[in-house]
Amino acid sequence: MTITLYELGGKKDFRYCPFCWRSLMALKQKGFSDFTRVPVFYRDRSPIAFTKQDRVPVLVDGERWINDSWDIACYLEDTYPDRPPLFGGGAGRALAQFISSWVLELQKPGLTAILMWDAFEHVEAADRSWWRADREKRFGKLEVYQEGKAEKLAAWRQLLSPLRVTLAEQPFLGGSSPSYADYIVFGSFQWARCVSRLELLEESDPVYDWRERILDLFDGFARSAPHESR
Amino acid sequence: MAIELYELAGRGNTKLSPHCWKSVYAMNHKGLAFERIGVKFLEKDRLAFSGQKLMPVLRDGDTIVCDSWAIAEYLEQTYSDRPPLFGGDIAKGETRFINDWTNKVQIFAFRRLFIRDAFDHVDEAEQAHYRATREVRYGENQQLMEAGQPVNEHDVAPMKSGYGGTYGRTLEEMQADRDIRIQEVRRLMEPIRKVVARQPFLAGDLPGYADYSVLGPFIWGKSVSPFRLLQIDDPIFAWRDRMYHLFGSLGHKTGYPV
Repeated sequence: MTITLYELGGKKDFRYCPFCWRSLMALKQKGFSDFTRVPVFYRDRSPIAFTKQDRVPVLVDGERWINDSWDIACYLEDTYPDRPPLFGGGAGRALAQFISSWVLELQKPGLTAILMWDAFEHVEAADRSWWRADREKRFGKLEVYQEGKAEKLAAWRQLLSPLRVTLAEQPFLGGSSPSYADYIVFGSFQWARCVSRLELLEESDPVYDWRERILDLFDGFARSAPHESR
Repeated sequence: MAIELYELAGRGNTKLSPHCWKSVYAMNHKGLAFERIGVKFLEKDRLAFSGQKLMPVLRDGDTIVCDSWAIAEYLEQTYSDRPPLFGGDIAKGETRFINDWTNKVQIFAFRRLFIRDAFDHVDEAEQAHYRATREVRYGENQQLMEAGQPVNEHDVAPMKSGYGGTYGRTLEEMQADRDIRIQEVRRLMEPIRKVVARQPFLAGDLPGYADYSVLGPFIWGKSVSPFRLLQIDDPIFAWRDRMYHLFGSLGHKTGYPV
């Protein structure tokens, strides 16, 4: 049985896509250690042409392929039920949807705006003009996002308030051990860590300790990925 | 002895706490018979048996449980043969996050929409106390502790400036701009909206404690105010209607018909 994950490729060996990180952590949780990781670049998506769509992550498990990080998590949970759980039952799966929606509130426009330029700098060289044109169509001039980052970060940290309270009460969103809900949120933190030297969290923040716990998982798998900040 | 639930109450026994509503629904979910005992703001001596002043308080025989989350945990553990409130350890962890989101985002956002209307439902003899404690100090640590919530520096700033924004205002001023503020409050509900547009309840096909957490502030609102929180085409409106139908239409029968 061979497993391959097609994920977004960045410059050098950077792999920063938050949704791909969700799938990477989900695979690790299910005990897969030797799967193949294939980078897919914006300008050349031919590696996933067989899926007849152009989005990553894409998981290939033997004869089957699945795209969309949520569907990948559900597939792994349903196909490998005897391995450590991602959801732990119907309610756990349903409630993880809320966390998924909540993370969008963190990501757009908050974190996306703060790290727009840093993200641009980590796009693979040959992809950059495509990326800039695509993003500027939606968000305006990239250079504008270099301004007022400290103020934006202070405001963004307030959005973490519910997460902060929960993680002061329990080690993971999934309770005593990490679950897919944790990886949904972690994906965004890992994206930030990969593309930016800006430290999103203060060391006194319970969210900081939680991120450390996740970075330690699976022999420091996420920690060892090419990154810019802690 | 019947199980007793002590709830914050006002004039005509109107219940005045979103957290107490969470416990009322949790009790119903477990199919337990219980007596609802209203306690007013200045009657906290009646809670002396619990060794503290916050509600809800549950008394089940010799067991006394304070704090709505602790009550949910107690019910799940003690009445484990009845319908589950959480549905496993992971679901419980996730539910706690949704409950914290409710406390940190939803309740603060709702509070300003209803605070002057709620005043009319506070017992007349306690209205001066209610006004005095809410007008000056709302959003400060004292209030957070009274509400039974953890206090830290991160929490204070947003209440002075952000969606709390009640600091230093009169009850009338806090509520005055609600026709404008409601747009932002509806937007803040987006994480709920996305989920209940896809599935009947937050917990899936059946309601769970996460649903009761989010419902609590809605019932608290309709108990004291006719203000229309949701538009009829909002997926949250349909979810809320499903929730109001539960347990003999408890939600529909409570407060204003909104």
